[in-house]
Amino acid sequence: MPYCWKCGVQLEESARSCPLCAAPVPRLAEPGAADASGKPADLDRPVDTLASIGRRHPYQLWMIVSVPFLTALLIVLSLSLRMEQFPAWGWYAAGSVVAGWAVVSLFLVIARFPVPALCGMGLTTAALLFFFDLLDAGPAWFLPLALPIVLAGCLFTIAITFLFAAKGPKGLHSIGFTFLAAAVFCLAVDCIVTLRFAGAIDPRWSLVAGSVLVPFALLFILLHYAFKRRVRFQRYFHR
Amino acid sequence: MTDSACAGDPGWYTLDNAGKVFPAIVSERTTTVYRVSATLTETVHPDAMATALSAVITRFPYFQVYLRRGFFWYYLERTGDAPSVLPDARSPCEKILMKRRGVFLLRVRVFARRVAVECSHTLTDGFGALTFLKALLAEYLDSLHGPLAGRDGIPRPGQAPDPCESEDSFVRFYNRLAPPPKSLSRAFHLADKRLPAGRYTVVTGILSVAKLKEAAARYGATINDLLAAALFHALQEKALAGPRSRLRPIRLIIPVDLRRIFGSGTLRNFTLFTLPEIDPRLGKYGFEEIVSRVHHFIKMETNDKSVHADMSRNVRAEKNRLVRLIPLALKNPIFHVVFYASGEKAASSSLSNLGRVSLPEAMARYVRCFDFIPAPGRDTRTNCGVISFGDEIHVSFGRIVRSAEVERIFFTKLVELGIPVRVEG
Repeated sequence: MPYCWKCGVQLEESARSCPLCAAPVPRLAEPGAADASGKPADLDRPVDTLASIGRRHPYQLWMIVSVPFLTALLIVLSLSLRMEQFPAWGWYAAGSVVAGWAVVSLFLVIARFPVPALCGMGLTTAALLFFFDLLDAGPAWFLPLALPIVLAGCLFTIAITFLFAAKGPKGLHSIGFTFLAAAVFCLAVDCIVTLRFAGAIDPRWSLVAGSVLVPFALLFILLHYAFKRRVRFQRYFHR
Repeated sequence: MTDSACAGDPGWYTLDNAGKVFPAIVSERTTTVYRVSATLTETVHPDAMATALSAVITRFPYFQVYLRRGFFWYYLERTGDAPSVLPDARSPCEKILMKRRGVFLLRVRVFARRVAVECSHTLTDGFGALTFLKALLAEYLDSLHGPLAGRDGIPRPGQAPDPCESEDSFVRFYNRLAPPPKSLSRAFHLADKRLPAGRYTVVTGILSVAKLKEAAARYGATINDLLAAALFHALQEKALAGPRSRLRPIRLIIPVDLRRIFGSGTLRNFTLFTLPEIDPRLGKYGFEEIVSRVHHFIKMETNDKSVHADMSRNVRAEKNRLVRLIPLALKNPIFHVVFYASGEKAASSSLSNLGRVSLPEAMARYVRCFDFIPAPGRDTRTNCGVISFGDEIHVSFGRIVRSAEVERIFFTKLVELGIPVRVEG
């Protein structure tokens, strides 16, 4: 009669794991017995039992998700071609559908690698904006305006992603760090826009936005670390 | 009507006092269905079981009924049909669609060597279902192995049922003058993630009665006290492992069979509860301390005087003229709210002990064991059912949560006490 090595209870002969704690029932293979793949069981080498757990099939999902995108693209193109002259909105719509499909594909296929996925999303966004700029009477605003803003957005998103990966995404501090990144992003966008249109850096509205965001960010970070260290408010703020 | 004690077979029955509330609260999760099963020494023949069931059900006319909707109350209407024998299901104690036409409030399931009676609490309590199962087994074994000797204590088809078997003993024995019981605060509830609605997972531990008795005697307690204390211990460990803001008194529902106290012969609901508690906000309780508290509490509370308060409150509510005049469509939501606000809210879990099953020697040799699975509860997410037969006691935990942590701590504690436990899941 097998026993659970964690709970100390007897188990049924046929039990593969303990019904109480799910600990597997250790069983030795018969000498020379083969596993499901036909290879002889190797008792000296540990088996990677986790490899088969949580394995996903992103390509199947990607193929399923691609169908509506492809359908939308075909509808846009066929509607546009039915008209006498290919209209501008057809290009905009088709470009948006392709970019959307690219972003979803990146998420599905390489979501486990956040930096390449985020870089890919940045590149897709930049390519879409460049395409729109070309449609709008040649390249005009892409290089001075769109590209720096997309780059700044990518950098801040990657920074936040790294921070969450390092500190763990749970907790109030994640909101605090997101607010801080948003404030810095606003400042960057403000600088780029004012430099393009006024010829000089004038970050007035981003300072207003920052004056709202930064105190909240600091409050969230403070609260998080105060609770984490079990600092009591009465003691911490005593007068 | 069977409100007046021991009326004859009228063709229809009012729901008993406890049964009145259950149709209002039935859901996928709170099915109010529990299960008593017997495992035989040989494979069950479904055809022979169906024949035995058709014969036995006529002996229990108050179980051969459909639920019908009246204007003010539900009632049970007698039928000439017999329930079918069904194959066993993966998930026990599934909801019985009792409000549909042609649906019995009990069902008989067979699988391999096991025969199970799943019964709604609207119809009867564990004692009634166990009596029915024993009669069914006797008839089945009779048909396979010839007349069994010594089955006099077990109801037999063809016998006229005692009219008192279908009485509402709550109404008969309640005391008009008894004061209402004290209201109880909200109890600690497990915060584990729930399984999808309708799923009910059961783990059974098989223990030796002799070893349990020996361990209980060391603490000067009964087997029931010891099991209740182990469940308190498990819930206390769970409560103390969680956030302090969730700490509340831990209370167990321990059903008390009122037939023994009042000498009633009813086979419908006649059970009330005693609710021992520990409060972990006051500090952690040692095991010996818990056993002592449970032992003395149960000893003090299981007598006719202590149960009168609960019984009188319930019957008075039923007899209240205003309540009686409210149409059923309005009563149902009210009962639903009242049940969850004052019933399950006050308890953390339940431990129902059907006690020792005794069978005539001629039957006992064909029966290996009995199991009792309690009905699932929405708030009391892990419940415990106990039944013993021969030298084995079967402790079954039914849960609607993913984690089996309560069961693990419970059985590990018993192993620590020197009681070998065999677990079947």
